[in-house]
Amino acid sequence: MNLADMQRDFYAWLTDGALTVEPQVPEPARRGLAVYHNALRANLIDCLSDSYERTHAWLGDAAFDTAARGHIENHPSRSWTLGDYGAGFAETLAGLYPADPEVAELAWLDWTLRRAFDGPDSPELDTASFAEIDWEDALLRIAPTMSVRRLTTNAAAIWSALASGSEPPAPLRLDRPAAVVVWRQEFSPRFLTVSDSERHALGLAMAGLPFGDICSELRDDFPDDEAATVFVGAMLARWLAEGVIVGVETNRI
Amino acid sequence: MRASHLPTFQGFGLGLRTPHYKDFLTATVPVDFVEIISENFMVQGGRPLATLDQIRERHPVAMHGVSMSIGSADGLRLDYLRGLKALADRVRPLWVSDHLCWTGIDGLNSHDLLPMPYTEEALNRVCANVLHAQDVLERPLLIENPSSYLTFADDTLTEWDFLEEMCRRTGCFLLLDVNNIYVSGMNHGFDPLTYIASIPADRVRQIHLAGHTHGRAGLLIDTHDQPVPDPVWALYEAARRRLGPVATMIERDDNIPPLGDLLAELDMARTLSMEAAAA
Repeated sequence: MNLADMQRDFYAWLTDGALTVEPQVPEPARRGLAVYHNALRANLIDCLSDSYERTHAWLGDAAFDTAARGHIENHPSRSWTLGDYGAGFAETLAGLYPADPEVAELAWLDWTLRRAFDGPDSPELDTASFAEIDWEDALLRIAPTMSVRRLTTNAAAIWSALASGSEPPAPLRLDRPAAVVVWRQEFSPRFLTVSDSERHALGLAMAGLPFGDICSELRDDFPDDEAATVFVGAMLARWLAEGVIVGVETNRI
Repeated sequence: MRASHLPTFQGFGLGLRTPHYKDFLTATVPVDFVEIISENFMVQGGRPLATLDQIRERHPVAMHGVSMSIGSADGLRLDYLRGLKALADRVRPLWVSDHLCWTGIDGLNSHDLLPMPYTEEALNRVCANVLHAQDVLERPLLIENPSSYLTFADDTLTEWDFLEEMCRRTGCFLLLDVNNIYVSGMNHGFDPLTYIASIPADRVRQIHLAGHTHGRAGLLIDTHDQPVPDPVWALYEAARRRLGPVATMIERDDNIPPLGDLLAELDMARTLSMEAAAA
C-alpha cells in the first residue's frame, strides 16, 4: 500500500467511532492503534471543553461529554489549528437542546469571547485630535473583535454567574430578545447587554455610516431631539472609554 | 531549500507554559532559552503575542511546532507555513522545529502526531516536504524523533537511519527527544543506546527531556506529565557523552508543577551534562 492510501485508511479508521481492527493485524499493533484512536477523541474533547468552559459547567461532565463526542463524529477537523475546532459546536448544541435555548446561547458567548481573546489588535486611539474632528462626517472604526447578536434567554446572566463562581440563575426566556455585544478591550474580552438603539447604532457604524447619519437614524427612537442627543453623547463617550471605537476617520475642520 | 548552516546554541531551557508566564514576566528566571509551542502564538493578536514579545526581550526563544505534518503524503499546507514564517519573523528564534510524523491528509486533521512507516517512499515524501518548508521559512528545520505506539510491517529502515538520510538529503537538523527514544525503544523492542550511538551527532541542535506514563495495554505513553524518570536521565548522560554540549530543555505539557520544580530538573540536566563533559 502506498503512503497516501495508508494515511487515508488510517485517518478513516481513526475517525470511525467504532474501535474495530482487522483480525490479521498483530497484537502489538492493535494495542498501538487503540492509543491513537483514543487520543484523537481525548484531544478534541479537551479542546471543546477549553473553548466552551461555561457551557461545560452548565451542562455538567456527562452531558457535555456526550454532546462533544457526537459533534466529533460528525465534524472532522479541517484546520491546522485546534483553536478553530470549536466553530459550529453552538449549532450542534442548538440541535441537541431545542427546548433549552440558553445552552446554545451560552455556547455562542463562550466561543465569541474566546475568538475575541486572541483576535486582531487595534492601534491605540488618538484622542488628542478629537477636538479638531468634524463629527458629522466622522467614520467610527469599531473594534475588529466586535460581534453583535440578540439573545432570547438569560444566558448572559448565567455566563456571568458561572464565571464568578456564584449560583447561576434558573434559565428563562426573555420577554423580548436582548442585544449582546462582545469585543476585546485591550487584553480583556468583554460582553455587554445593550439597548436596541445602541445595537442599531453599532450596526450602522460597522456598516460604515458617518456619525451624523447614525444620529439621524436614531432620532426616531426618542421622543425629542434633546433625548436623542443625550443618548448619543453618553453612548459615544462609553464607546470611546471602553475600546468599542478604535479609530475615527474624518476630514479635519 | 537544502539547508547548510545553523549556529549551535549551548544552554539549558524550559518549555514556556501559561502557568509560568507571570514568573517569566516578573522575575529573572535562570534559563538560557525558552521554547514555545508555535501554534499557541500563531494568532492575530491579544495577550498571547504581547506576552511573547515581552518574554522575547528577556530570553532567546526556540519555536517548536506540532502541526506541520511533515510526513503528509499530500504535501504541506501553505497557509500554515506562511503563518509560521510570520511568527518566526517576529520572534527571530534560535530555530524552528517540528516532529517526524503526519497529522492528517486531504485537508483533514487528527491533531495527533501519527506514526510514519520507515520506507523509501516515505523518506522521499518527508524530504520533499522538509525542502518545501525550508523554502517558505527561509531557514533550516529541526525535526524531532517521535514517540510511537506501533510500527509498520513494510518498514525497511530503522528510525535512526531514516533520520540520518533525511538530514543528508535536506540539510535539516535534529531535535533529539531522549524520552521519545526511551518510550519507542520500550514499545518496539530496540535498544535506546543503539539509537543514541547511530544518530548523526553533527546534526543535533537540541535535546528534549520529559516524563512518560505506563499505559493500560503495556505501552509507555509520551504524556509529558511526570518528572524526567531515571532511565531517561541515564539515556541523557549517554546522549551528552556522544553529542557534546547541546541545548537541552525540560518539556512539561500537563500536570504542570511550580516553576521551581522544573528549574530543579534543569539543574539536574546541568549537573549530568557537566559530569558527561568531565568523563
